[in-house]
Amino acid sequence: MSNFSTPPFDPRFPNQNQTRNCYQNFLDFHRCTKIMKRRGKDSSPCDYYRKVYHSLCPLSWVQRWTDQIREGTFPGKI
Amino acid sequence: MMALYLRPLSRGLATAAKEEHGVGGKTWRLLTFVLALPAVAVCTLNSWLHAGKHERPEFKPYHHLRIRTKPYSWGDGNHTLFHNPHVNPLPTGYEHP
Repeated sequence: MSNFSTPPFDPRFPNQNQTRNCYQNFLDFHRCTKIMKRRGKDSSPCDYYRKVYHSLCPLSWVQRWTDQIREGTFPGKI
Repeated sequence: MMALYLRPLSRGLATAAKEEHGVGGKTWRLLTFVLALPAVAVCTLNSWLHAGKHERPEFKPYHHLRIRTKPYSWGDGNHTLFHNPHVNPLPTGYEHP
């Protein structure tokens, strides 16, 4: 019945400010997808990162970053 | 390299000057002409050799750069004070191709 989950504890981000947790998982998802595609492999292992950042990140941030990636102005390294 | 010159002077500039040549800064005048000015000449030569046409980076409208929260108080409010049109792009891109 209960199909809800929440991201597990990440010891890299133990404190109240989870901003970097959100950003790091967002980056990791895109890096993972890019590398898997480049190697021609299935990118479903990357879904873990997507679930985590979907839980943690404010939607406005995700939308802003996705738009920036599409425009080519995303400041992070993917 | 500076240590070579500073070792005999480590007791203090005035004492050393008195001991070696008397007050008057002869040591420092010598150092200026023998060390400092030739070093400036070498560095200038190096700059001229490295000058020439440099390729400028492709323009990407990053949001964290070229921020304009409020117009500048000079000119058209959009150019930085030491704006160089060849290497400094505006928020919308380079001015001349």
